[in-house]
Amino acid sequence: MSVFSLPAVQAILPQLMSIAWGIGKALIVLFGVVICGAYMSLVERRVLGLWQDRYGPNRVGPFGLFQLVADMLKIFFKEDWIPPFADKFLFVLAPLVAMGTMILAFMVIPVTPDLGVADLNIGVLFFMAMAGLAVYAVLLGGYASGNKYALLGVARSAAQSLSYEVFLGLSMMGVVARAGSFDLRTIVLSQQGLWNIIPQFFGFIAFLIAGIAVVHRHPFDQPEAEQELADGYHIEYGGMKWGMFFVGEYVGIILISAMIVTLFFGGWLGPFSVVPPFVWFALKTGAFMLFFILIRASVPRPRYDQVMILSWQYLLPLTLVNLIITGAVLLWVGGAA
Amino acid sequence: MRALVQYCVNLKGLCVGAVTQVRTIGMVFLHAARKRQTLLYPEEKPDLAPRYRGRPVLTRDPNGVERCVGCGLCAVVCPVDCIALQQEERESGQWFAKFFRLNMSRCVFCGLCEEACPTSAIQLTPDFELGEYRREDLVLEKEDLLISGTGKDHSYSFRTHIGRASAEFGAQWAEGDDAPQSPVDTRSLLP
Amino acid sequence: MASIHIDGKTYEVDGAGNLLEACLSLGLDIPYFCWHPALGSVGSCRQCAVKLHKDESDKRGMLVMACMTDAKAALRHGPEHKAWISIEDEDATAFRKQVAEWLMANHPHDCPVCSEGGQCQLQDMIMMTGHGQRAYRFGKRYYTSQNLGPFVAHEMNRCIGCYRCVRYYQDYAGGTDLGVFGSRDRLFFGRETDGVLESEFAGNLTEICPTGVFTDKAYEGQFTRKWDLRYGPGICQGCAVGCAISAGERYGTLRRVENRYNSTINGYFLCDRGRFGTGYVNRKDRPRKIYAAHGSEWHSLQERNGSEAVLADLSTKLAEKIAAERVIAIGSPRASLENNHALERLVGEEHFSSGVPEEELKRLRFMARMLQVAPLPSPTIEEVEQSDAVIIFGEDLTQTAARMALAVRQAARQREVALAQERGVAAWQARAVSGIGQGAKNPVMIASPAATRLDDVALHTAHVSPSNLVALAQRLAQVLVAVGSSKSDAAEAVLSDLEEDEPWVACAVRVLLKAERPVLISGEAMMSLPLLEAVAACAAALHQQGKQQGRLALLPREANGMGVAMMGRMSLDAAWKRVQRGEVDALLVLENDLTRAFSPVQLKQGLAQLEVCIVADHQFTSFAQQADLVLPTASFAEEDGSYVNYEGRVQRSYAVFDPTAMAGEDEIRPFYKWAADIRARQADMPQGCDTACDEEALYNELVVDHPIFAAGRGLSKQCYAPVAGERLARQSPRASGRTAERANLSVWDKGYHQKSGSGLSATMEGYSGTEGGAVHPFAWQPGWNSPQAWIAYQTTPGGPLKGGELGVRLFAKRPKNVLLCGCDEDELLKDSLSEGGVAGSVDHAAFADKDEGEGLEVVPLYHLFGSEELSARSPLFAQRCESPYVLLNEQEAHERFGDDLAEGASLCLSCGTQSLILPCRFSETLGRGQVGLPVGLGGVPRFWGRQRVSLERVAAPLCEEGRP
Repeated sequence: MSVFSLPAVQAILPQLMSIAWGIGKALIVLFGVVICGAYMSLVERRVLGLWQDRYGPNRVGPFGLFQLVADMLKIFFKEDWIPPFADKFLFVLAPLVAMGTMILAFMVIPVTPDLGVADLNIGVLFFMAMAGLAVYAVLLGGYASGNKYALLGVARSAAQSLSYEVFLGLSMMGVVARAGSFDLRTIVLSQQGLWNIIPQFFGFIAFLIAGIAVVHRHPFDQPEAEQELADGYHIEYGGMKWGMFFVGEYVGIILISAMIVTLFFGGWLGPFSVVPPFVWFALKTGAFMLFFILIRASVPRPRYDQVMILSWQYLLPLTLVNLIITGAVLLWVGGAA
Repeated sequence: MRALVQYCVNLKGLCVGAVTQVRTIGMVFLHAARKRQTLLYPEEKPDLAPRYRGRPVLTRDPNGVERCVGCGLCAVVCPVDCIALQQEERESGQWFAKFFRLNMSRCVFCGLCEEACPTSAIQLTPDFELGEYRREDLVLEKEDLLISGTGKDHSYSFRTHIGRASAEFGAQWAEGDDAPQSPVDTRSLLP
Repeated sequence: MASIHIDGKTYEVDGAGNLLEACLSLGLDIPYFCWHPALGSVGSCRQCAVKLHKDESDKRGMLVMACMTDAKAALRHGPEHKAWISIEDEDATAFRKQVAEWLMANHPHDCPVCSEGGQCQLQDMIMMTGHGQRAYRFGKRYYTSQNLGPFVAHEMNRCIGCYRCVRYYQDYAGGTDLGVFGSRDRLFFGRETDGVLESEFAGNLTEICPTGVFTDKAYEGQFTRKWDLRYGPGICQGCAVGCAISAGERYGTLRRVENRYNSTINGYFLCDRGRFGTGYVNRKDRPRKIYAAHGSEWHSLQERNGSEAVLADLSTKLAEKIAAERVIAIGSPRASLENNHALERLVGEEHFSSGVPEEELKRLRFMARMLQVAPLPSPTIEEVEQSDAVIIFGEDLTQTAARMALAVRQAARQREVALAQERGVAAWQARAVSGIGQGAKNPVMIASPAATRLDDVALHTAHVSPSNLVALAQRLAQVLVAVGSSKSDAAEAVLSDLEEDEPWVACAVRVLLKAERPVLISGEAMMSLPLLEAVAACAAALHQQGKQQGRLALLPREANGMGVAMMGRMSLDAAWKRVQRGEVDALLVLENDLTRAFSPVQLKQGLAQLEVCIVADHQFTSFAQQADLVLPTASFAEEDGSYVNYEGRVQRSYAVFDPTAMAGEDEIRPFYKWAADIRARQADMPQGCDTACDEEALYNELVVDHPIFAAGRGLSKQCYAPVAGERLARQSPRASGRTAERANLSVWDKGYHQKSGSGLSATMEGYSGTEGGAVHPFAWQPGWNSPQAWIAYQTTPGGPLKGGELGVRLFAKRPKNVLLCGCDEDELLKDSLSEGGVAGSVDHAAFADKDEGEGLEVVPLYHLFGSEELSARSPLFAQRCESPYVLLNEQEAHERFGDDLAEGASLCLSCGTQSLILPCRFSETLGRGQVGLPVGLGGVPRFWGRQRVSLERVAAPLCEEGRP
């Protein structure tokens, strides 16, 4: 006789099942994201190779698919070294923060109507909070390294994140206003019929740029600019700690892609009902991930002061204007209704 | 006001810049359809130019005599000082290299030795597969370097070009068609 | 001072010499060929054309040959002692380029296979003129070159016809067998037929020739470009003159010896012994590891436990013997001061012998004493060259101190210069000088037992036996004193009386009284202390005559003979007596081949008394082969060491290379390091404390024990780089093969060992400019690869180095009142001065008494190639060394042994129990009652010199009896 036949258990079984399903969903999303993030390292190299008329890593396994295994093995067996002049606690903490915040932020992404870790009614704000926390990874890592290049990277990172998160938030407000909710699932559902990309085009542009900047991908990789700063804030990192920064960055790409899809491209929504919603979500997200790589392959890194000027002088006014116009239109349309 | 005008000018520049960036992105994207420039090396062999600077060799002249005269110009021009040799003289007065050592673990394939060589003896060939498991094996001696052919320069023979006659060279002259066929009569005082 | 404007810049010049010299000393590059600082100008190559302007407004100017234009005349040409000349002028540049093209019309394109390439003046000058393309399209003439013997290679096709070779060889060095043949563009510089160049200074042709006609054949088959050599500024070990040399190494062997310019000693020239006689450094049979004789207990110890164990055992044994005072150490006049001193400290001074036989040591001490108190100071070679009368007693200078002989030739040639200068012609106008001089010579007087190689420049030669030589010198002193103290009429009367009986003495007195800067030269050759005393007496007499400019040169035999004599200590004979008496158990011999000093019997007696005989040497000498243990020491090319030359000049010779760098298992070390190692073991000190091996520290230790050498402290400052923290580079900046030369031994790059104390860097890293001290490892300046680069190091062309004199003269400060008093030698001099009647004629019979002994008197003869021990071991010298012989007066030989005695017949010399069987040769100049014996040659021991011997004819054909 199984435990499940007990009446008490029978009574709470639905709750147990839903808890298990909740945990299951969380694990599915967690592993999905981490594995995708890790595989991004291979995909990025292959795709960059494609756009640069070369092959990229294609030797390990079919199409180089097991390259990741090789890389992982390498990273795992590297010496886990902490520089003697580093602040040990913060030095270890920083990569955890880098990867942790990005994965946590994924919690609020509604992948399909059924799949999603948590439907927070402040989902957008939670994302903002996590993106804000992610800056600490860079700050702590760079500061704890005790290295001048790392410190320069930190200074840049702090200024860049501070600048771009301002209108990262503002650029989403138009979408929030249209949906009337901070809940991402509501936002997705609000796009039935018309994706936000059309009414919120400038919001999308601002969010795209700010998103790239927040996860400091090319061309906004100021904190880690190899050429000038010799790897910037993670110059002293190696082995698995560096690997966590690395994977964290790719998770960030997935996160921002997923956010773009959720906010502006109707999330899992798609025209053909035979195609399952997850496929739509994955396709759209994947396309943006490739777009991120394409940008890396083609756009050079601007000078640091140009980055700041772009942020404060152009993108911030753009988002504000976009918000005002959105508000005005909503009020006008709402008033008419 | 002026600031506003400047802002607008800058904004215009930004927009134009953004368009060119987008164009760049598009062009890079189109590269996905292009042919790859790189080769899948051990399976596909590269097609190397004859002037490719790979493994250095010592060649022989058209008569099969080793060209190197041990003058040391390759060694002195070598930026990494990886050539060491010793001249020696045959009974006939011909110079040759007693030993010729090239430390391939230092060679940077700059080709300056080939440029400096007055006899066309040392030549860089399109062979780049030079890996060894022991560093000692990268130290090449004359017998490792000497090939039996003339290399790139098929007809050149330094010994007929130096414009000097002696027991070694006989009355062999390359310069001038009306070269004297016998040595100067040093006893003659005729004008 | 006057100002000279060259290409718009103003320079201050003193107006001496010609324009070429002026420009070169200002550091301006003008190409030239026929001019040479030591040979003067003849203006034949037309290469040094420059434009001379009247004043700054004169745009046209005129082309002049810089080497033929008096700087003073150029200054007079313009107003107010200013001259305007242009080197960069278009016409001048084009002219020089055209001349270069003509010179190159027949020059082969064989630089890669020419051993001059890389140190070629022609290459430098062609680069300077900018000539690159030969417009003349027709064939080149060609010559059949000659075989000029083992030292100098001949490749006539490279000749550009500058005439420097014959001007040097005939005019400067007095050679007769190299000349110029043919006419037009078919000039041929060579010998009449193939054959060995006779001059002892033929090697200098390799540096005189601006291109590759005459090249160094010595290291044929192991030729190395100049840029690849690692140079060491050395001191020649060939004789007591102590010429400065630059010795070059490559791949762990000594490759070449070049002249190291300095104005006071060797100038631009070396003798062939110095240049070609260093092959012994490379001998395969040199001791390279600690060698324990087979059968000795050390041999088995070495086989079991290696050299380290032998050294440990040796140290303990030596310590015992030293404590028991049963040890003798024998130093060497061919080892450096530092090595001799290290040996002395190891065993204690009362057990140390200088390694010089008793009689020779007495003479050396006399010479050393004379340096301090003689009425006339010892001349530098430069002073000999500038002297106006030379009298040589007993020395065949060309064979015993060749560089001095070359200087004597210059002294003779100075007469022409003096005559020219009387007519207002400058000394550098070589052709005009010889035209005016017409071969006039300053008087050179030679008194020697047989003909010498300087006889051709001698005014008067006297061939007298060694004992008569003493009498002759004494007589000269007497007459000088007498003539000097009497009135001129009386003096003339005395001299004319002498003319008949003693023409040489009369002539010498006249010469000396007339001369302003006479030089008296004598030395060790005749092995006679009375001769030295008599010559010193002559010097004293000269001094009395007010000839304070006079000089007295007394020449020791070996490179450091003067040094060991100054160290004092016991003689070799005294030491060996103690060995023979059995007072000694252990014998330690440093770089001294005792078979050259003792007869085999004497050696055997001594060696039988010993428990152990240890030899430290860099050669397997016949004595080393009898030793129980041989410590491999460094030759001059591998160690730093100080040497004292004939004029009391301490000079330091620096190591060229580290013998262990190319062959790791070699155990060759300077002896002072062996000694330090042994001492460290004895004192239980940590081994290998290198601080004591810093050459300056070693010298300071020497000075503590021998304050006489104090003036030489700080010698190492002569090789310092003026740039703080840098050392003098010993390789040219182009040295090649750094990462490959050792790659066959180990592929891991190893830096070349840098010594801690020296101011010299072992590699190209360091200073290679012209400033700094007087020691420059090699001559190279940008654009100047040939030996002509020395001009950049000189204050004026052919003048002193910017860094001053080489070495330090120990007795530079002479007592003001040089009248001799308060020492034994003074008494000797006084005696010899007062001896005999002043006006009386020499009673030859009185001297003849001394001759009448039993048998014949052996006259020591010398050969540049072979008499000196080390250079005779050079493989190259095998072709030039003669085999030993015995020289006889031709008439006397026939009288004694019949008319059928032909040259080459075997004669047996015997003296006591010793005998030698040698082929005979005849001489016309050797007097009766004497036999000439080349001591040192082929190992003929020196003790034969000045013995009385009996001669017998032997029928036995000569085989290897040359050896005693």
